[in-house]
Amino acid sequence: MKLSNLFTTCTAMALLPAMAAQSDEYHVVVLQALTGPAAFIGTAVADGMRLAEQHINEQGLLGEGNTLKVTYADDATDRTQTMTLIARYANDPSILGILGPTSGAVAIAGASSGNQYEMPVVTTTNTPEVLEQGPWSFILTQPPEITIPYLVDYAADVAGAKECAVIGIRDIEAYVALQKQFEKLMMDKGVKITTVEQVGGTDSDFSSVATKIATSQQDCVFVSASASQGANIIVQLRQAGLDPATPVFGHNAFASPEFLDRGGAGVEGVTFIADWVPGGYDDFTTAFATEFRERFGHEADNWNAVGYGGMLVMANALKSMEEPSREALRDQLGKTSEVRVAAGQGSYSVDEKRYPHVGMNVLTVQDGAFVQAPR
Amino acid sequence: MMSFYYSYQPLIDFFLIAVGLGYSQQLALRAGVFSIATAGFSALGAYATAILVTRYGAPVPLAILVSAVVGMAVSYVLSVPLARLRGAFQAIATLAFVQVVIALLLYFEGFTGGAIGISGIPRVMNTGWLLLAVLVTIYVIWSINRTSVGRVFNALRQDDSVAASLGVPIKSYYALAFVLSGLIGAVFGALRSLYVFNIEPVDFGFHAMVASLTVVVLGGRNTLLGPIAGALIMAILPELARPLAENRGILNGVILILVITFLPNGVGDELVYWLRRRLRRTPKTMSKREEGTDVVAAD
Amino acid sequence: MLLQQILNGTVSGAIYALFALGFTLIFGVQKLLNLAHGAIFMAGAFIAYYATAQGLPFWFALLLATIATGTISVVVDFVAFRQLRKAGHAEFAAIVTSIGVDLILMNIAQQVSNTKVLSFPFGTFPVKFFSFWGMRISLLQLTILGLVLFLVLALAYYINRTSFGRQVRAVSSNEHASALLGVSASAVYRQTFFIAGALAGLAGVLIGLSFNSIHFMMGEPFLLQAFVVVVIGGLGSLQGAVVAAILIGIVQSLTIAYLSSELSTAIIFALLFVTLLFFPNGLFGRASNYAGGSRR
Repeated sequence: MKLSNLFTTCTAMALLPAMAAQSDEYHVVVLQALTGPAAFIGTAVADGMRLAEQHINEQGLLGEGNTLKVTYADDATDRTQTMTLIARYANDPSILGILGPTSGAVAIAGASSGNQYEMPVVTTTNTPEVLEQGPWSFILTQPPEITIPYLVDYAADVAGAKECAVIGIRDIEAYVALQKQFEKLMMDKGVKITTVEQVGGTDSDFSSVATKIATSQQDCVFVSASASQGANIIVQLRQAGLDPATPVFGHNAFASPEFLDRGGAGVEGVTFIADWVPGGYDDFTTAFATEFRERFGHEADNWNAVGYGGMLVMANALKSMEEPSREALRDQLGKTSEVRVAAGQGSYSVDEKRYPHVGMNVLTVQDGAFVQAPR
Repeated sequence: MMSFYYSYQPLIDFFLIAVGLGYSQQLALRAGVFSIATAGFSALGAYATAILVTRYGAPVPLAILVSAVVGMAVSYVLSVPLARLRGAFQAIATLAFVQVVIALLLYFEGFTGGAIGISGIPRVMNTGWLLLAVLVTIYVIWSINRTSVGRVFNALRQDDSVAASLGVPIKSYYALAFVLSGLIGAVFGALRSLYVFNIEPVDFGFHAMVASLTVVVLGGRNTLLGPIAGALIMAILPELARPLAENRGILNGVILILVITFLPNGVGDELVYWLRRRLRRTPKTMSKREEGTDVVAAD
Repeated sequence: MLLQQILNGTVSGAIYALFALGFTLIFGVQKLLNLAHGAIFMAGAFIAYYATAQGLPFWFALLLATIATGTISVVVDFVAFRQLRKAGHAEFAAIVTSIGVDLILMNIAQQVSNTKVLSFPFGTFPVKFFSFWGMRISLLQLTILGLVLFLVLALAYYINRTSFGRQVRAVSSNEHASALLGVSASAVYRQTFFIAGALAGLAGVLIGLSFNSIHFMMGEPFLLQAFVVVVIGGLGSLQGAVVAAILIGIVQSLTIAYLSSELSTAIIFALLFVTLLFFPNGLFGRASNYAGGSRR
């Protein structure tokens, strides 16, 4: 380790005259699940980060002459690979921090590794367990206790739900956490949870569950699933004869063009909370939406926006360091305050517990498009 | 060298765990039981240890011991119905066993943490301990191979009706092989949980079953070298193909097909057979040890 | 509700059957555990999707997907299994080569689809519901039921009544003896793999259509289900596979409706285990066609 440090220093010194004074290259790694079960999230987050990387370097967001160097790596949603890669990057002194891993047990294992090697890791997931692993791990998305109240307030107070049926994916931990929080907060508000149905993360046949709910009594259905699967569940609920007047609720995964593509007329009127308002709602967010479409050829979704913001938060912390070091980066990530991002209500801060706060929007589907839900 | 070790330490540690689980899988296959229950045993072992250590503050050696006992008990019970079945039916019955274990882990949330699993497991395992566990396992299997039990296992695999007609109590030997498989699977499941910080049911699903089976088929089903060779290939493959980024699945697939097509007995087994053939030509060098590990030369 | 749930279960079961028929042809008759069957099924859905996206009519896309997956399946046999069979190592080694094929096909599909979930555009198949006795059934569900019935009968006729069927059965019981009698084993393998692949591809299109979802990992849950179906049905028994598939569909549907969706997997597999205890050769299997004969 010592030797390789010395070597790097020597190389850096040899290169110094060739470079402009004061110019630094900040090297971070994007370590996401680009293949495997969490690739649906990981690839989208990585794309958002690619666009942010381009913007940061084009606009010189790191200060005059400073550049951001990003290495993209795939852990294949595999804990072995995540831990191996973090160990390897920790051994490379040029790397300051890691954006990733993506979610679930892989994220928690990655967080543990980050703390073990004293390498800042910003996981995409929303579970506070990542933070419990030690001071070097962070979460990029808001935990359910911050996001779900936006939805529960709407469902119970605005829509006036009294009896709610719940359908959730049983094997995707982030969605399970959201679902549990929803059940808990609804019950705190005196709403009855009539039934909780669990389906598998790769299932596509929901006819039995749909018939069971469509033939029962409730005035609210909450679906905790990914955009495409959620749309599919809702379409099958409608086909099984669910009363069209029964409001259907969901969480932030639905804020994706995919939800409309899959669901069509079937998802009209579905209400959910969202990190991202598709298409954007002000200059900054519409610019992001436009440029994303130009670069990647499709509409930005929730996870693209989250990834874009994640890289901006990283850039902000890099810029705020007095001397580049992993320790300084860790401290600055913990002090993140009011960074402009595309997700949520646009301003990203981290509180003393290292919980991120960026706000949530309540959206509904109207005439095949997402609009802010009427109050 | 040290720098290499630090960079690849988790890879080496996971390789050792895969070798251990590979032996669990290999023991069953060697005795002619087409079992894919290793993932289920390792799930039971992992959860027993994780729950004892995190909830009840049990000392680690005790927790591992309990895992071992659970693994042996469950595999013994399972061996009774399995002895009635054959080939693919055994595979499906053990597949059902693993699925039931996972479904129950998901269901009894209060006890097992449901889909979220158990976290905050202390990491007490390191390369040294894992290496020791693998070496002990190898020693145990090597010792068995030297006794008549090892030969009976081979006879069972080749033709159990012949074995039966020679008066071998088939059921007890099936049970013995399966209990050993359960023991090793559960212990390595426990060691793994003491390494990875957190466990959840999906870690032990279809992919885990296929992974142990691949390690053994790729490495070899008969020799001690088999699981080592198989686990080595499976550990190196993803790293080898890393420059291909999102296309590396293709290279992994091509390599798997090529390796097994040209070395159908598995890389480890073929290597051992080849060495043995070389040694046979010069009988003087054939030591007592090779005699001991000698397995089905006719295969 | 009870009748509706039985109907739901029957339709789901019919779809499992469609997937399992090809699988049982290869697994049951040739004792090959083809873990790439799920990927071939997925390929069918992908091919039909991209064909309709190019503006081709749906029936043509369906036909194209069926032929294409049949061809892919033959190629897979040629690349991944033929050599092993020649060397007499197929039983275990095929597990690894078929995983290899699975990885390759899934990787290609993920790249092509950009990891997105795809679905056929609305109106690809007319959405029409019929109501009777308080039940609802869609035109698509009726079509699937009819198609499965037709395919099973056609296949049963083909295997049991034609000379090709006799050759398949001859090769599956003893390849060397049938070679002496002038049966070309390689032709039989080619045809079996074509039929199995075509059935898988067809199933992929229909499932992608009826459940509105096509993605690179869609084969996995069906593969697991197919193991169960094939074994309960008795290895290699086509009729058994269909009955078992529908039985499993109904049991699953009823457990979700009246017991618990959380426990439905545990119940199904526990039932499977118990079934095997009492019927060690599956519900419809004969003792003679178990796959344990080739253990080495």
